[in-house]
Amino acid sequence: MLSLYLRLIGARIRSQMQYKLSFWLELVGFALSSGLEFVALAILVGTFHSVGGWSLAEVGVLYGLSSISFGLAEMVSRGFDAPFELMMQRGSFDGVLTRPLGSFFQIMTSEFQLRRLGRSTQGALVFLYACRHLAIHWTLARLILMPLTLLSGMVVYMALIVIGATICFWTIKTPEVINIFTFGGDTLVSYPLSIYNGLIRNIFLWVVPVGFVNYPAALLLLQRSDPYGLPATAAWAAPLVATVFFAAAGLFWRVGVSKYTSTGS
Amino acid sequence: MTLIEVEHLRKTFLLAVRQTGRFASLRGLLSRQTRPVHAVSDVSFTVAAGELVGYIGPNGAGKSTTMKMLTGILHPTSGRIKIAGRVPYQERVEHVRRIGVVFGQRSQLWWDLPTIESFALLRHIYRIPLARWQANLQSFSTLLDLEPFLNTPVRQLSLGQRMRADLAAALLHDPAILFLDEPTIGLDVVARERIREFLEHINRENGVTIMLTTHDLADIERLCPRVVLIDHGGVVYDGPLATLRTRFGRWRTLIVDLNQSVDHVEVPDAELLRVEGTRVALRFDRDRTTAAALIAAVAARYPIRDLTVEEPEIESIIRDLYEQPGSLA
Repeated sequence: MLSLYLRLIGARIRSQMQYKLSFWLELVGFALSSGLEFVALAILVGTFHSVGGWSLAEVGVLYGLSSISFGLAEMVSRGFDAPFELMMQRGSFDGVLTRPLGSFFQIMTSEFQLRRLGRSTQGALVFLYACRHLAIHWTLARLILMPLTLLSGMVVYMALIVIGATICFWTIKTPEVINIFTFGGDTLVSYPLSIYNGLIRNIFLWVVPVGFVNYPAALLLLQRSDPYGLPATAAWAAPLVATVFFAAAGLFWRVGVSKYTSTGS
Repeated sequence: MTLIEVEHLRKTFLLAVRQTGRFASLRGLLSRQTRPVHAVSDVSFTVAAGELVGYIGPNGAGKSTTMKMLTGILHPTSGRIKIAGRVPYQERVEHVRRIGVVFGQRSQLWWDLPTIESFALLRHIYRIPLARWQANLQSFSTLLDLEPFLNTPVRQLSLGQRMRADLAAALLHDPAILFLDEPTIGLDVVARERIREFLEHINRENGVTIMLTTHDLADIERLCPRVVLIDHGGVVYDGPLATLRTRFGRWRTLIVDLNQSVDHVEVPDAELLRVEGTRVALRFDRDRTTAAALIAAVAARYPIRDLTVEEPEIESIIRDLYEQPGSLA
């Protein structure tokens, strides 16, 4: 299955590389436009010197972790975005069901946007700069935690994109509301969760666990404590939370597909 | 050997009823009133291995819905389907591995990749042994003349080329059955003929069982020894095309161009359809009179400049059939 995945993704990348100039422009474009988000954030935090007691560099850790994950998720799962929506509108999802592969796998491999790495690269730069500035002490455990956190974040954002796509089975169009959780979530968790009221905090920690991705990990790296008592060690639970959330999204997808097979488009 | 068994197949969709009156769209969001629509109400037939069957019927008769159930896309509301020993909607992946599907309106190929790359990806998706794949590709390239555009991205292909590529793609994995939905739609005469020749060949030489829907009577005449005709979600005829035609296609239309325009034409045994200046269309029942007798009768009264006799189209045969439901007995 992995080799088939790589083959299909390879084909996607080759076809994008037919337009090299456009590829590089878009890559840089994504890096710049998401970089602007950080500039806006920096101006805001700079004006007030800190947000909820977090310095700009500390916010940079939160921002970096979320951006890297979000960029990676967009890269691998944008097949669930516009291409899938188009598929629903044109009725070509039928074709997916006539291939001897799972529909989830086929949609996932229908698109691979390498250019989304622009966001991740930019996030990584902010993260590395912030870490240097803060002179974070890297223990082995912390080094192991980083890829786990990034992967968990990627999986949570992927699940959100899948959920948005699944709604298409009922509405044909992906509702804009899902962007509140993807783009909105990415922006929201760039600030420490402690500054939000209980409802928003709880939603982004426990319902749509975008905040679970970076907040506890940042607490742990920065050796801070959460005013509401969320332990920094929760960072180690992120992979579990992400897995559960992704499984829920996968289940929802199955419900969507069975709705399609019983009613058509 | 029976390959396809369909028994009392039924598919009912629930359509949302559009609300009317005040705040209609708002109320529509809250209450979901639905109305059942029987796309397929009772369809039964069997297809033996090696057959080439035309599945025809007017628009909205339930053709596509049946095809979607046979290919595992839709789950039936009730009834039974068994294809090569499998129930399509229960074992979708295993089922589609053994069939080929072509939708005339939509390509199944990778839009922005060269055609040959689509074929290569299909080899991996269907896990076709390399030698088998090469042999098939070689054979289809010759039969369908794919060579000139194997390296062209699919989006740049003409409709005819694209259809040929899609046909080859659907057959690379040696499916036992090929399902085709409108394989010649939108194609010119030459392209249609080429596709028909190909289908005939793979049916006869490779033993691929074919089931196809079409609006083109010529496809049916050329290819299908047997037709299954459905209307209003049920089978109204199942048998050879020749019988269908002689039994139900009795109506012919005689079109004559007269030397001068007329208001009305009166000829025995014929019904006046329309008068457009000097052109007159007359409908007659082939069982009651012959074209020759009718022409003679018209010529006796009016000077004729030119004439044609139109055969009934499949659509009108179907319409006639529907208007005389008892005529099947």
